[in-house]
Amino acid sequence: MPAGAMSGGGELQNVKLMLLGDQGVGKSSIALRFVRGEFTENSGATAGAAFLTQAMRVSGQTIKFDIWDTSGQLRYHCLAAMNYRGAQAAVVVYDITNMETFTRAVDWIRELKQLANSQNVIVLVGNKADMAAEKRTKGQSFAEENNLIFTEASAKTGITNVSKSRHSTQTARSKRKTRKGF
Amino acid sequence: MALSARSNLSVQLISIMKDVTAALDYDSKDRNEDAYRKYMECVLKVTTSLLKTLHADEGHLKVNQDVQKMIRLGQQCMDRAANIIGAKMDKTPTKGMNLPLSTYPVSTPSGTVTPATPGQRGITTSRGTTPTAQVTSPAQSFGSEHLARLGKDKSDGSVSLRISYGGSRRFHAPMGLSKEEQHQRQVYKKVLEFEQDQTWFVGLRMELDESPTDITVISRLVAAVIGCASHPVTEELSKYQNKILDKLTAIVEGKSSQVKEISVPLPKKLYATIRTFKLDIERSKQSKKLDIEELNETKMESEIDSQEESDGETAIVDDMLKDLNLSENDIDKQHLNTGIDSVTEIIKGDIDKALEKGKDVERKLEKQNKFAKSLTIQSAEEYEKYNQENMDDLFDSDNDMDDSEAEQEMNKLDQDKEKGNNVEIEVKDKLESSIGLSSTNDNNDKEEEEKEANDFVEKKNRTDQSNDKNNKSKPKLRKNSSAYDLEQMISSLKDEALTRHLDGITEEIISSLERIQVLFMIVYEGLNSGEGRDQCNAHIEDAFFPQIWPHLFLLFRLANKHKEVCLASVMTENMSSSPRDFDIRTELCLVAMETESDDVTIEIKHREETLATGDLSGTTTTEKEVKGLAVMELDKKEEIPYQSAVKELAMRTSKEIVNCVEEYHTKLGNSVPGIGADDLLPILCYVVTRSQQPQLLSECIAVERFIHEGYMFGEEGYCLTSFQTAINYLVARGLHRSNQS
Repeated sequence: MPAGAMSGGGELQNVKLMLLGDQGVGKSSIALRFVRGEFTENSGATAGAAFLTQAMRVSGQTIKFDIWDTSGQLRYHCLAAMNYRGAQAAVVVYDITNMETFTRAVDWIRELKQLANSQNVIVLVGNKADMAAEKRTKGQSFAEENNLIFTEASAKTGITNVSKSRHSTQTARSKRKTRKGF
Repeated sequence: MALSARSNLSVQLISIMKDVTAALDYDSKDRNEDAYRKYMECVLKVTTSLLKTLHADEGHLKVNQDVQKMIRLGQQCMDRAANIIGAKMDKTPTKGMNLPLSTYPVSTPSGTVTPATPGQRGITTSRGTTPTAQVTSPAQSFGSEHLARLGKDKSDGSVSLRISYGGSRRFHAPMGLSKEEQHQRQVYKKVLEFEQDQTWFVGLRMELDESPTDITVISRLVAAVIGCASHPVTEELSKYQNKILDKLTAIVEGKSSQVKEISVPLPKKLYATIRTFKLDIERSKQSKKLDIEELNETKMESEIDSQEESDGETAIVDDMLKDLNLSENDIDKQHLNTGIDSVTEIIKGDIDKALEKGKDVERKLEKQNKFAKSLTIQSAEEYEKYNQENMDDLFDSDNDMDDSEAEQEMNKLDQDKEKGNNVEIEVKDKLESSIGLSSTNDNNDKEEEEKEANDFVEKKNRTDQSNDKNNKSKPKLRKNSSAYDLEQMISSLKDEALTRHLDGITEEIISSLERIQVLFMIVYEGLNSGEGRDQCNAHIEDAFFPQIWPHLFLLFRLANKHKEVCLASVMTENMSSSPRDFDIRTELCLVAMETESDDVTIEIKHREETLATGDLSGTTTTEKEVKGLAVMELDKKEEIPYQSAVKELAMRTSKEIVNCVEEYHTKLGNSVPGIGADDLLPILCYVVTRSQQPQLLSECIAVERFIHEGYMFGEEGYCLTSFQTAINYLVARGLHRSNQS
C-alpha cells in the first residue's frame, strides 16, 4: 500500500500524478480513459473518479500512478496547494473549444513551476479534440516555450495526436508515460 | 638469577593477563564488586612481580619490555577500578581510562602475537575511525554500521557472549559515542539480560530471524514486546510517554473550557473572536515580505477576485497555507532522497533548520517582549498623565466618571496582563516587573497628587488647565486604543505561545517515536526491513498515542481554536442547508424523487442499518439525501477519539459518498455519474458542515502532523487532503462572512 511510496526500491515505483484544470474540461474523463480505456463511466472506483490508480510498464519498470484529481473550481484554488505535496507529475487539462480554460491552464502551470519540485513532469493536454478541428497551435507553442509535453486528446472518442508521450527526467524514476485514449 | 627473574616476569605477565580477562568479563556483566576485586588482585600481582624483579636485580631498576607491559597493565587495572568506583559514586567515567588493554599485543611464550582475549575482541580494530564515532544520531544508525556490527555479533550465537560483547563495547564508550548511543547500548544489553529470564522472547527472536519478512511474525514479536511492561524497550517507551504526558498536562490543564464553547450552534460571543483572528492574520501578512512568489499569487488572486465574489477568502486562505506549503516542499525533498546516505544529510539539515528556527523564535520573543514592555510602559505613562489631568478636573464633579472608568479599564488591563503572564514565562517576567512598577507608581503618584491637589486647591495654573482640557480627549482615546492593542497583543501572544508549545510537543513526540523505533531495530535486527518498520511503527503508535491523545488533542484544539470558531460559525449558519446550497451537481443531490418513481427511492434513515446487515433492499422514502449517511459516519466518529481513526474516517466518508451516489443511481436505473474532485469537494463541504463538529479541523491537523509521510500518497492521503481542503475552505468562508456581518 502506501509504504510502497517510501521503500523506493524494487521494480515498482509509485508516481503521484496530479490532474489540474478548469471545471468541466474533462479531467475525470481523461483519468477514467487512462485507467480503464473507456469513456462511459463505470462504478467500482474507490473514491469515484477522484482518485485512481494505474500501473503500467515503462522501459522495463513498473510504474504505479496514483492519480489525484483536483477541483478546478476557483474557490478551492488556493487550497489546492495541499495537493501538490510530493507530486512527481502533473497533467494540466484544458478544453480546446474554450480558450478561457487555456488561460487558467497556463496559470496552473506557472504555479506548479513555482511551488512544486522543478523536476516534475508537466503535461499540457488539450481535451475535446473531437470537438474542434484546429486551434492547436497555441497550446503547442506554449508547451514548447515552457518545456512541457503537449498533447491533444479526446477522452470521449479516444483519438489523440500523440497517442503516447514518454519522458524521462534526470531522475530516472520519474520516468512516466502519458497516454490519453489508446 | 636476573635472567630467570625476567623470564619469570613474562610468565607472570601471561598469568596476570588471564586474571585481567576474568576481571573484564565481570566488568562487562556489571558484576562490579567481583570485577573490582579481580582488578585489585591483578594490581597486587603486578606490583609483587615488579618488586620481586627489582629485588632480583639488587635494587637496580632495569627497564625492559616486560616491565613496561607490567606497569601499563597495572595502570589500566587501576583505571578500571577507579571507573567502577566512579560509577558507584554516580560519576561519569574519567578520561584516563580509555586506553584499551589490547592495544598492546601480548607475546606468548611461543613468540606469536595474539590479539588479547575474547572479551576484548574488536577493540583494536575499532580505534581511530570507529564506526560508532561516526554515528551521531539515532536515525543514522538505522541499517548502518551499527546494525552490521550487531549482525556480526549475532554470528557468535551465544547470548552471554553477546552481553560481554556489548559490555566490552561499553569500555571505550567515552571515546566517541554520543550519550544516545551509550543509552541504546545499555538498553540492548538489558534486553539480552531480560531474555535470559524471559526465554520465550528468544523464541520470538529466532522466529523473526528465520522469516524476517513475515508480517505475522513481525507483528507478534512487536506486539509481545510492547505488551510486556517489563521489557526494557517498552520501559523506554513509557518513559518517553510519561515525559510527554507530563508536559502536555502542564500546558493544557484547566483549559478545556476554552474549547468546549466551540460547538454548533456557536455561542454569539465567540463570533467576535473571528474578527480578531482575521486582524491577526492580516497583521502577520503585513509583516511578511513580498517575494516574487507572492506577487504572482496576488496576481492570481486578483484574477479570481474579478471572476468570483469570494474575494477575501482566497487571500486569507492563501496566507494561511503559505506556511504549510513551505513544509510541504521540505517533505517533498525528503521524499525524493530515499537512500540511507541522504537520510544523514536530511537529519543534519533538519538539525540546522531546527537551530535556526529556535534562533528565530528567540528573536521573535525578544521583539515581542520589547513591544509588550513598551506598550505597558506607554499605557502606564498615559494613565499617569491622564490622572494628572484629571486632578485638575476634580473640581468638575461630572468628570469623576471618567476617572473610575479609567480605573476599571486599568484593572481589566492588569487582569489581562495577568492572564498573558501565565502563558509565556519570559513575557511574564518582563510584563510583571513593568506592571508592578507602573501600578505602584500609579498609586503613589495618585496619593501624592491628591494631597497636592488639596493643598493647592485654588491655585492651579489656569492656562495649563485649559490646555489640558483641550487635550484631554486625545490621550484618553489613545489610551483606549492602546488598551485594546495590548489586549490583542496579549491574546495573540498567548496563541503564539500555544502554537510554539504545540510545535515543540509535536517534535518531541515524533522524535520519541523515532527513538523507540531505532531501539527496536537495534534490539531486533531482523526488523530492519520495509515490513518490519511499518509494523513497528504501527504498533508503537498504537501503544504511544491513546494515553496522551486526549491532552494532545486538546492542545491542538487550543492552538487552532480560532479556525474552529470560524468553522463552527459556518456550520451554525448552514444548520438547515440543503446540498443545493453547496453547489453540488444536480444529479448528485440525491433528493428522493417521490413524484418520479414510487418504488425506486431510497431511505436514508435506515441506511446505516441496511449497510450493517448488508441488506440493501429497504426502500421507502423519508429523508432527503443519501449523504446523510456520510454525515452519520462523521457522527459515529466521536466515539473513537484516536488519530488513526480519523484517517480511516476521511477515507470511509469519501468512499461512502461515492457508494451512495452509485447505489442511488443504480436503483434509479441511471448510469452512474463519475465523481471527480469537482464533485467530491462540495459534497465533502456539505458533509463536514452537517456533521456539526468543528473539532474535525483539529483532528485533521493532528493526523496530518503525525501521519507517516508514506501514507500521504495513497488513497488515504488523497481522502485526507480532500477532507482538509473542504475544511479549510469552510474556515475561509467563516472568516469571510465575519466581514459582512
